[in-house]
Amino acid sequence: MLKADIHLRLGTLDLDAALDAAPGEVVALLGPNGAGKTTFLRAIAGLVRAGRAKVALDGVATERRPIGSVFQQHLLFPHLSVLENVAFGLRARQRPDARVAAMAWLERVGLGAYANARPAALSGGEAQRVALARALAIDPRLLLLDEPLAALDATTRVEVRRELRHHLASFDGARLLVTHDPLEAAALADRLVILEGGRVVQSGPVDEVTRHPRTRFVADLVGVNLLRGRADGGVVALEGGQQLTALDAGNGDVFAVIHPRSVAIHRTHPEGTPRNVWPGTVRSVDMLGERARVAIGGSLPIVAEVTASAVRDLDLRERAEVWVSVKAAEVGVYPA
Amino acid sequence: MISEPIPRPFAVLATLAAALFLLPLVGLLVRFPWTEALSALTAPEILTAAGLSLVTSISATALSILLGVPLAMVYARARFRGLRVVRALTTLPMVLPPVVGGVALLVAFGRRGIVGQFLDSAFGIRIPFTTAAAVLAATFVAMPFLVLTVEAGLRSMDRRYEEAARSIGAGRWMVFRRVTLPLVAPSLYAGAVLCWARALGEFGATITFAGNVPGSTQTLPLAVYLALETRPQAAIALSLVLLLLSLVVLVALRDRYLPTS
Repeated sequence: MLKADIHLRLGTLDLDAALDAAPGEVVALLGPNGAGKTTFLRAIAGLVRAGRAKVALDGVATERRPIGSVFQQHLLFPHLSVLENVAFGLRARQRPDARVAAMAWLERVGLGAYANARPAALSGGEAQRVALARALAIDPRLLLLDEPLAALDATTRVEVRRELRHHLASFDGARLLVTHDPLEAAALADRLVILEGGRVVQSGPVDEVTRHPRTRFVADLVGVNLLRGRADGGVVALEGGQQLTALDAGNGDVFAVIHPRSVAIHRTHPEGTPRNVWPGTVRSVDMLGERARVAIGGSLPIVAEVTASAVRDLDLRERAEVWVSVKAAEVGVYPA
Repeated sequence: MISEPIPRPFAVLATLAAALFLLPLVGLLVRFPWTEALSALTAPEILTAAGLSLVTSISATALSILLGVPLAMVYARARFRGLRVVRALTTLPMVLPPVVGGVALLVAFGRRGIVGQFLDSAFGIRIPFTTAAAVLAATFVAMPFLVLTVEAGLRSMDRRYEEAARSIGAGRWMVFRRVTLPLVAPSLYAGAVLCWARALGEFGATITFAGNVPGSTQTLPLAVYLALETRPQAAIALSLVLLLLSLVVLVALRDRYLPTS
């Protein structure tokens, strides 16, 4: 169990935030650049000493507990072999079997063949896998991941993300992931903590935060409809049994992302071209300035964002029966 | 590559400048005593001086690394009042006339010096006119080269590697030994070579503070200077040898000081 409570001022940043993470839980710290995400993580890792930081792992101050860190740039030591990089933390703990244990970790991330290579010989994705092995080798109770995929190109990112999820699943400590990519957060995390201007503005399970963002900012950042399913050509079979038509969805496990602004609401069955049409019942209407987020229940629950005048014109209120439509071209599909 | 047109006055002055450096080298080559060089260079007093030079310059370099790397670390990373003044003062020997350095060393560590008299009365240690004095003189003039080079290396290194090491549990000493030091190794190497070359050529501070005692303080430059009066052939031969040595140093540091165009 991680309990962190950080107060510090650093330049223009005024950070005052607290969060918990249970063993086995993946918490994503999400926010725009300059929100203080990385500083928060560095304070937990003990790399920032300014201000007041109360950080406890299983009730013990973190100085005595191993914490593994994976950074945006892999930061593998360029002068050491790949194997010695992974063994570094073990040597710091004077483990006599450092090399053997490091080799086992290297095999686990599938890079045993590179043991004697220098980090410079690795691709970006491979280097990040070695960095993960280096962090996990010390058997940490907490793993900190600071935008671990941000420096990778799009194709590698999908690959490494899949692998990261696999390795994160087998790790039983708490995991804290910093990211500015909502999709990355959704793919890897159980819970989101949104940081804005040094403050936690919302936190909760991924579903809840994406469906019910509490501020305009959170709505813009993560307030999308995120649906898991299996793609087969142009059709995504969702976990609830429904189907979505999308443009070239590829194959395999995917996220279907529908922005609330792309969801149209009708009082009668719509005519015309939309490929995805289904009936539902309005569950809630939240006004956020000139816009309204309308949560619609039914066989395929979804959130729509419409103008305040549309709410009046269609007389949208709770329990109103409506039709929902989404164009195939508006369904974004991303490998999960 | 096509040359840019150079104005005539510049070309003339530039040629003069180059000649100023090249003519003495040509002179050494022209007057090099090809036939007696071997016997001149292997004369016992020359071999003694060469051996002593090797010992003092290497000792001075070792001492400079031992003391200079921590000093560079302080300069690159510590922040305290008066740091800039201390840094300026320890850089002074690079521009100070070496003789002045020798006089200063004498009043500090000489038998009547402010520290020397205490060393003498308390421990019976007398530094002047010993090999230790020659090492101290060489260290005094050469260490700033190492300190400045290592400091620049420390300032330009990516400190996130140190953080990465700390984050997975490495203590300060391990971070320094296994991350910081290897990452500044190129700077340390360059600084050590520069420092060694300066220590090897040291003349003024050595002759002032350590004297000119054959076998204990008479290093190669001192031997060359003395030989010039009695056996000029040996002086010329030795000078060319030292010059070639300097050339080797320059080539060793080519990535740092010679433009790679």
